[in-house]
Amino acid sequence: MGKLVALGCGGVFLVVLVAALSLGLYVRSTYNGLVERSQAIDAQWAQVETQYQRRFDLIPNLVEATKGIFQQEQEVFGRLADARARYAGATQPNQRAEAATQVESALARLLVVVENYPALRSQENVTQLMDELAGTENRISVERQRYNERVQVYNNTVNRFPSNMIAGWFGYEARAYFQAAPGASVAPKVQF
Amino acid sequence: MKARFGMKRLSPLMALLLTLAVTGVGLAQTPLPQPMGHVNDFAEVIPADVEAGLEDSLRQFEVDTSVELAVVTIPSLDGAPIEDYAVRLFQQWGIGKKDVDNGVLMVLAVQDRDVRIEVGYGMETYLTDGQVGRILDTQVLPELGQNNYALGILKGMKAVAETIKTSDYQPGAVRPRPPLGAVAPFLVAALFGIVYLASFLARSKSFWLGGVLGAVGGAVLGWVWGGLWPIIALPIGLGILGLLLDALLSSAYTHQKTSGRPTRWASTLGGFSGAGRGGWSGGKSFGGFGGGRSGGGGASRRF
Repeated sequence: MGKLVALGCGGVFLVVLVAALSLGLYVRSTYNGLVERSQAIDAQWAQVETQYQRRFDLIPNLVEATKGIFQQEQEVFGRLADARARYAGATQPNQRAEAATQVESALARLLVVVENYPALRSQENVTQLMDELAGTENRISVERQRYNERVQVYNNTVNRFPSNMIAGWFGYEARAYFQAAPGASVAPKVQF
Repeated sequence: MKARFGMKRLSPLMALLLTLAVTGVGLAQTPLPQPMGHVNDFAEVIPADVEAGLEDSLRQFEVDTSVELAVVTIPSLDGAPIEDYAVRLFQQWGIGKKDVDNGVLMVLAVQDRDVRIEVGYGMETYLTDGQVGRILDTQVLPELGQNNYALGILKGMKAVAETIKTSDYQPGAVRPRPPLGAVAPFLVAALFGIVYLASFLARSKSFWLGGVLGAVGGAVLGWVWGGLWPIIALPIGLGILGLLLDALLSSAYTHQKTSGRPTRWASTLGGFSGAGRGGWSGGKSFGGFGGGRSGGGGASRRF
């Protein structure tokens, strides 16, 4: 009888031990997961900004190649230069994102204009620049989408029970999704 | 009989674990096909002999340069932009070597009359968007315009391969691994071998010895390895593995014994014969792509 009680006590102790251990492990892994996912979001945003920079680096070449041909499109070039300066001057990520989306509509307009000029289209260097530009726009949309996917994974951890309690203890809050400006969500497509 | 009962209990669990491992995380989007090789003519527009020849060339190109080139034809995109489809397929298949991302994918959507060449992250410098656009304009579109799909694809892939070969692309160097990290899989494999041997030899006496041995061995290995996770994960993992293995072998032994069949190692396929149905489905000769990624580089055209 005494042996049985001792065995029971041992069993209960073991169960409690295992439960405490798994709770500790759960908190640890959830916390580490939050840290990792939060950093993954930042890393992905850096990817988006890399592509923004690539786009801005392309613009001077594009302007150079097309400027002489359409004098009447000076307004587009002005808007591009404006947004580019604003992007360079922005210090906050959301300011940069705003400036980048402003550039999008101007670029889309420029692509449409180029498509309407057969003389321009037939120039190989213009075609190449347009491909680079379209490729960059596509890259931006891909990296933004991956950014949003990562935010979604992170936000799931922050919002769902029971991991939301752990996120709350350590002050981890839901992050905002990237939202493209209206009309700028579709990357311009070059079709020659 | 006891051990056999254990076996019956294990099967659904194992099935569940396998299902979870295979399904993973799935997004609610149109399902993507599985890769059949370098050339995947789902729209059936390439004659069989041309397809086999192209497959050989692309395989040889991978041997020579480690660059993975893939061709996919599909009947329809079902309304999705070809850019989205290409980047999703690229990601799912993992075209190119892992971490080097040296893959290139050509997608042809026959009914949509869309074509795209998607370039992996690692190849963007050697195959720029401008170059891809030029290849499409000069090599691919003239043929596709006359519905010469196979010829357009052949010329396109040939131009892609030549552009890479004439660029200063160097086949990616193999990254050195940390010293213990390289030996660790062998240690785990060796330990697994010991667990298996013990499970086999003791299958008539116990159906748990393998589990105990696995846990103990895992603890020792985890301690040698260092760090918190190996110490926790290895004993648990190897313990469960040993338990499963021993239960499987013991139940197989009981089954063989009760049905009067031989129980020696050689005549039971290593002790697994009699362990019920199942087994692995036969694989194809194509080993799959290397796990490379792309980020929307490349160019698209409508033909």
